[in-house]
Order: sequence, then C-alpha cells, then structure tokens
Amino acid sequence: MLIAILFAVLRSLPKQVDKEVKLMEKISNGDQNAFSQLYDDYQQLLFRLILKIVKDEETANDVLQEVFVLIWSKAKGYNRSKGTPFGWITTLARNKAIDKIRSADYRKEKETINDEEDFILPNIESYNQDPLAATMASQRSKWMTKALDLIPVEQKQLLVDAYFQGYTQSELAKLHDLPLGTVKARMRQGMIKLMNILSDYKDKI
Amino acid sequence: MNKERFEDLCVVYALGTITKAEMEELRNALAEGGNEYAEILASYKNAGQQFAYATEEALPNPKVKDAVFEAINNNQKSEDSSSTANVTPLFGYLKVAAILILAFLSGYFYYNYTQLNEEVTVLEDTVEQQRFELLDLQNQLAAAEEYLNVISSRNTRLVAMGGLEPSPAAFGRLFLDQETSRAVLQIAELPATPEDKDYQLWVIRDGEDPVSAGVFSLERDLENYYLSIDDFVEQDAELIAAVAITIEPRGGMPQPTGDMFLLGTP
Repeated sequence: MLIAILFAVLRSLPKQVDKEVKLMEKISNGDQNAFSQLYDDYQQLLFRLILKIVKDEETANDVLQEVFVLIWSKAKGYNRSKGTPFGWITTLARNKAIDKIRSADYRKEKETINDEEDFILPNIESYNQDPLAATMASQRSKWMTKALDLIPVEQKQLLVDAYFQGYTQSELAKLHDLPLGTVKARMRQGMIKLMNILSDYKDKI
Repeated sequence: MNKERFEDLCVVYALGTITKAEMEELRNALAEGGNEYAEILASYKNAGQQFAYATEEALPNPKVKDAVFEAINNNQKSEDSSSTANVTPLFGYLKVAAILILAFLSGYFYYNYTQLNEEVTVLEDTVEQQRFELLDLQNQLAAAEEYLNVISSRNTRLVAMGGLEPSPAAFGRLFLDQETSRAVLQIAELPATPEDKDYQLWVIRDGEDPVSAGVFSLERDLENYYLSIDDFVEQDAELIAAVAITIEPRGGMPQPTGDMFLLGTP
C-alpha cells in the first residue's frame, strides 16, 4: 500500500518549475495566451512585493505594468540555466521597484549590480530545491512571515531592510549606527537561522 | 578565502545587494570552492528568494493587465513598421557588387559560426537538463517520503470525498495529522483546471459558513495528485462536518460560488 502511494506521489507531484519554464518558452515565441497565464499567476505576488518597496498603490500599479512589459520584452533572453522563472521574475520586479524609490544614479553610484544579466551565476539554482516547493502558493506568504518572526529582531530588521530597500551593508551600518562587522555578522546569522527554519519546515511536511 | 567571508558574500548575493567588486570576489570563490561552495550559495539564494513572499495581502488594479497588453501590442506594431521603412538607395554597380560579395562572405562565416554555436548550446542544454531531471527526481523522492510521514502517522484522520455531478468518477482523500495540523490532500480523476479557474478546498464546521483551506490548479488530467497543506484550518477532525472542493475564479473566493466537484464527511 505504502509503495503504491509512493509511486503515485512520484508520478503526480506538481512540477511548478517545469510548468513555468514551458510558459517562458512560449512567451519568448510571442505567445500572448501564455503571457496572460503568467500574468495571472504572478500579478498578486509581484504587486505585493512592489507595494512593500514603493509603499504607494498607484506607483506600485505603474511599476507592475513596467515589470510585465519588461518580462515580455526580455523573455527571449531567459533560459533555465539562469535559474527558475520565479527567481528571474522576482529579481526583476524587486530591482525595478527599488529603482523607483531611488534617484536615477543611486545604484550606479554605489556600484551594486544593476543589470539582471550580470547578477546571474549559471547553474547555481539547480543544486538545491526551493525549500517551500511542496507548499501551496497561497500558504507561502504566511509561512515566510512566520519564519521571519522566529529570527531575532535585530537580525531580521537588517535582512528586511536589505531586501526590500536595497541597502548595502555599509549603508545599513550607517543607518542603524552599527559597526560594519556587526552588520555582516548579524545578517549572516539571520540568514543561517532562516535557512534552518525553512529546512526544518521542509523536513516536517 | 575563508568560509565566513564567502558566506558574507552569499548573504548580499541572496538579498540582491551585492556590489560589482563583491560579485567578482564571489565568482573567484566559486571557481576555487567547487560544488561545495556552489551548494552553499544555492541554499542562500533559495532562502533569499523567499523574501518575495514576506509581504501583506494586496491586489493590483485589474486595469493594469489591459495596459500591459496594450503596451506590448503597441511596441510590436512600432517594431513591425520600422522594419519595413527607410529603404536606402544604392550608388552604382561596383558598390552593389562589393556589398553583395561582403554580405555573402559574412553570411557564410556567420552561418558556420552559428551552426557550431547551436550544436554546443544543444549539448550543454542536454547535460544541464539531465542533471536537473536527476535532482528533480531526488527531490520528488524526498517529498514523497515526507508525505508518507503524514499519511502514516498514528494521529492522522482520513476524510474521503466522492465525485459529484461535474465529475462523478473523481474522488479525494484528506489525511489530517491532528497533532501537527499538517494535511495531505490526494485527488484523483479531476479534470485539468481551465486557465481562468482554480480548485478551492473548503472545510465546513457544523452550522458555520465554509472556510477556505487552500487553492490549487491542475495543469493536466492526472490519475493522482498530492498536495501538502501546512497549518490546516481545522486541527480537530471531530469538528469537521464536511470537506468539499469547488471550482472558482483564479485565486479563489471568500465563499464558494462555483460547481462542487468533491464532497466528503469524516
């Protein structure tokens, strides 16, 4: 019985990444139906992400529009070795939203990576599974919020400021009036803690 | 490079705040550290990507979708018109001949170059695809074992669901681990979800309105389909009067509005 269930599970587990890669291939060939499906799948996630960064609904809607137009125009350049469509799309949306709240020269001045292409390290993604891959999309948000709440607040704050505001570690050190070494150590410890929580979660499913 | 420095670089890479100089440092570290470092970086990257979910509920303006499609169709039209405009006149037969010869030679060398490049790309893609599939199978096996833990727990209760009129052959089982609140939903013989729809799982307690327990879609008709649900809306199976699955507009609804496909009682 258990073996039968095991095989049934193996046959049927949703392959979200495969589905999205196929969708991206269709989009790169100009398939607007596939693009419409991708829009429906991602609109809420990206809007929430962009809104958290720009903090204004009207601006967030404008950025969302720009992001999807960008996805359409850049889809030809996407392939699987660049990581999952999820990672590619959310990186694009996050960077676009951060650009909106910064001056035009901001990222140039601080010399962070500005072009998504430069940010890619080929074939990194496939070494490890997405820790929440087996989870319903509607539950991920709840779980990630809960996971972050389990991280000490002084570590969590630095991680959240970095991701959602795009601050470098030097900027965070100034902002929070902390030595750079302390910022680095707290962020490292916070990420390790987060990875352990996500891994525990994966193990418990 | 020591491991602590490498992990500092992983953190800024994962959070998307890495500088160009740090990126160079990271590339060098990866070249030195091999698979071990690549796996560490992948773990950081995966964790970093989950931050996209740490947001509050909000919905975009529905008009944005129309605006996006209008923009891409306008861009397409302007590209099409620019590609057919501005035909430049040629000056004299000699220049025409020279241009044709140059064009022919360029085309010939370019063709050979692209053919070779394409072959290399195809081979690289095949290797990468196979490696990905192997990892995918390993991951699926791990996930299947994890599902079995829920299904075989001594605290697990089963709710069987039968198919209703839209799909009478369908059936489902909900395995609820009452100790951990984790559940596994097994669905069989349900038709693939239309593009603009999702299936929605409901829990009905005695005398109360249905409560949503999650939304999912099926890309194709499947003999069996399994989903894990963390923090199931009701931990105590005794309090569940019925469980149902309906079809709803994409993203789900606060209360059921569509056809009911599966219904079961504990």
